[in-house]
Amino acid sequence: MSKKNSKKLRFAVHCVLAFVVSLLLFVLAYSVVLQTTFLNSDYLIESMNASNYFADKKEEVVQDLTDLGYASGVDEKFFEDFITEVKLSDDTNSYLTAYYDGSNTQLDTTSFKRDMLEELQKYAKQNNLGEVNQKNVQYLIDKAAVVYRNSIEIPLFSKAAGGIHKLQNNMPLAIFAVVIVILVISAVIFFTNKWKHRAVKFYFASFAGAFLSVVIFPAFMLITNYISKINIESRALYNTIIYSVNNFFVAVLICSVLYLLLSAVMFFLYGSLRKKASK
Amino acid sequence: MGKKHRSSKSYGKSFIILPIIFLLGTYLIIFTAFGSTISFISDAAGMVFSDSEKDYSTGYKNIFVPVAENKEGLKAGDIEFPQYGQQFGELLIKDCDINTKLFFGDNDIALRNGVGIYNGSSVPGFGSTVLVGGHNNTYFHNLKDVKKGMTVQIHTNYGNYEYKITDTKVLQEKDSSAYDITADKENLVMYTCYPFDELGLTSQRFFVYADYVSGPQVDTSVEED
Repeated sequence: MSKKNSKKLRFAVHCVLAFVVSLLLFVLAYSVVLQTTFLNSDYLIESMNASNYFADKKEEVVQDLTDLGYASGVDEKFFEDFITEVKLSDDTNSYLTAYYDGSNTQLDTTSFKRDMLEELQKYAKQNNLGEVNQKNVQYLIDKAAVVYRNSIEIPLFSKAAGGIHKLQNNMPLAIFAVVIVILVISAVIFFTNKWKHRAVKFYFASFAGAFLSVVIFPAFMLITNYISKINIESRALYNTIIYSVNNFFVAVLICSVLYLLLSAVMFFLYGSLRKKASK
Repeated sequence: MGKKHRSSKSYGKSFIILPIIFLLGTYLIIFTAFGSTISFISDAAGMVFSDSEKDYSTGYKNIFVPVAENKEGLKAGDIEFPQYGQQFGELLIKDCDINTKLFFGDNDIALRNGVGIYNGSSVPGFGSTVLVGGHNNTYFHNLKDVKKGMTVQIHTNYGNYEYKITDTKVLQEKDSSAYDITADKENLVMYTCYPFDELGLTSQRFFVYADYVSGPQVDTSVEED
């Protein structure tokens, strides 16, 4: 009787250990994908390039500044020539790099204001506008700089800065710690099972459980395309967010498929080890 | 002889049930540990996500069909009231060559294509202040040439209105004395950025005031059965 209870207890303990491994594999999948995507400044820039962000953003910024121009004696072509994709790309890069470095969450518009003043002075000369009221011009430049900064900065990003920086700082260590714990628990399961095929059975359960838990959320989001209903003012940013979030979910799905493959390996390994054990 | 092999029984339990239990256990722990955070995120998502994909078109709907003759006894229920961003009329000041589309609302699309009624003010025929804004570099550029006594015509999809210009002023954009939104007498206030034809922006606005002359007043009373 006590031998039977002891076997049941051992089985229960191994199930709990296998569950912990499954849970840690779930955490590992999302941690690794996060670390390589949204916690990495290059990922957003690559997503922007892939989703034609800078061309779309130029259209939007030129339109917003042109609306300002309608009230300030500046014609449409001025901003069409002044705002370039290169300028947008450089400023966006600087903004994101400073953001992820933790140095600044606001775009510095000093060079924008300086360049705009220079161009407006040329514009006034070319169009024979005579004596220009510098105070009014500076007011226009200040307003234009606010419009430009608001178009480059990502909404709510500054509010999330604290959380993102904490995650960035701690994620590599967290991933390392999770991997170590998984290996330690797996070693415990392995060495406390006299028959190794039984240890492999628990490994299978961990990987299969991890596959099921990891696959559900990204599969749901990709199938329903829920993210496409996000309400974002900027079309350029909308396209980039859809692209980058979908890629994030695809990366998570790839992790889940990896777990599925590993569980399949464990399944066949179990079969072969059990055959050897029963001989 | 009738005994099942022990390993085939445990094969089924371990390979199907355990992963499902682990799946349920994982999400139970997530919801237990992060329930309040998930609830917060879910509420926030409700504000950030809408029922359908956002429409990024820059077009607008035009419900303006000119009215040949004003209708007597016009009731509110007879009117197709414009929605925000729709064109529902046109504004003309023939003496200074202003002929522009009139929108309900003064968003960017409206002001790129014409002039817009501030949607916190009234529309013609409803007996209060009609506040119309436009850009000084485009459709309200010639507002600088208006004089007292000039006629402003507003044609809407429910009637034609006339106003007579009584005054012009240059005031600060946030000057609360510039107009009275709650006036109980119909009047028209047009405004644009000031100065005209100069490079730069200021916080000044050029206001043009006009009194109501003619046009159908809309009966907004509710009929009792």
